Amino acid sequence: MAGVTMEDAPGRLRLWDLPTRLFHWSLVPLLGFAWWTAEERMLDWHRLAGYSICTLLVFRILWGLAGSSTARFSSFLRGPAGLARYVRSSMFNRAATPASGHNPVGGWSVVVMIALLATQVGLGMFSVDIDGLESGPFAYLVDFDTGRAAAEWHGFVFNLILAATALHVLAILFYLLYRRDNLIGPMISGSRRWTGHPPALRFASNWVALGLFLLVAGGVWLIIAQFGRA
Amino acid sequence: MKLRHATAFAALGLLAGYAAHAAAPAIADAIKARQASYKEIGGAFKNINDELKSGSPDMNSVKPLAREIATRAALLPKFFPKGSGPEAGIKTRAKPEIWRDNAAFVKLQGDMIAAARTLDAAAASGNVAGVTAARATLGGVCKSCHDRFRTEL
Repeated sequence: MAGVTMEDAPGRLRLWDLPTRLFHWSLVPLLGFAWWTAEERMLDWHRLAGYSICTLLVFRILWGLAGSSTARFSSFLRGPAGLARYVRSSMFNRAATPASGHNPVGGWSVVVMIALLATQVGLGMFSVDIDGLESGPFAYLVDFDTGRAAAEWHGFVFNLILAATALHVLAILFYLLYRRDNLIGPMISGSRRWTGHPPALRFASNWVALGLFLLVAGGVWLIIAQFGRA
Repeated sequence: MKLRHATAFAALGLLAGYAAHAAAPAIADAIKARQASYKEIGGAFKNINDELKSGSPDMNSVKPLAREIATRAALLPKFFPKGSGPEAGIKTRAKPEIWRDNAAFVKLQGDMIAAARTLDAAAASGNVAGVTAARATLGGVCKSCHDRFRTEL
């Protein structure tokens, strides 16, 4: 496998496991699809996109607790002091050692992005359209006004997600152009160029990830099919 | 004579002033009334749809909701007086096109009233399939009118 030769190649470090990369890249078309189906008022497809994103988010949160080292929240979330230190001494320093995973700023942006997407999915579950015709699967639990408010917030949070995405792309461009550090390649191949002593990173099994994902997907489907109305 | 003219003019002025003053609340009331009505209709329609989506709709709760929609829909046409568009200076999402293409708007209002009546009749006779079909028709009318005559947020 290409991945194996890459990680075994001298001067390269295996960084991102397959589940994390698949999570990242499936979000891109899914977010686009969710936006487009909302614009086109294809609400059946829009709900499906939302359920898929919901599944991915739950999986990613669990993977952040039990997955590979670089996927774990505990490995990349730093307190204010660590964050400030990184911004002051490393972020704008071309000679600084690259992070072996998310850097402290990137780590928090992961949390912000997951929080925004989870908020968005949650709002969508309770949203009602102006005609009272289309709705999220759990909108039947709230009254019309609450459902309308959820829908309006759903529209607003989408703009926040757009802003966060733009910031994310800008940050990647900053690292590419200013730091001369390509972060896109590793998110595709899973490994990056590395000089010096490699850090000890543990990788969880892809099969465990697949099993976890199927469990989450089944759980999301069961809850919506059992308790939702859409 | 001159004095009488002046008095008459003054009286006329007062009357005109009163008329202008009275017209404003009429418009504000119409806007308020239609907004409240649409809100109730939307809420009732949502509840009907929640019932239908449950798979086993409780027609006893659908019935009064369908009746409310039909009753309120029939009253809506009188809540769109000229001047109750954005120019009223009150927050409204009614587009000026309502009065510019008034025939099309009135036609959609008629469609709404007819669809609401069909829904009400189907609900009253406990006809689930009829309610399901009627709500699709009514939902379609809501949407086509909103798309054309209601400002997007």
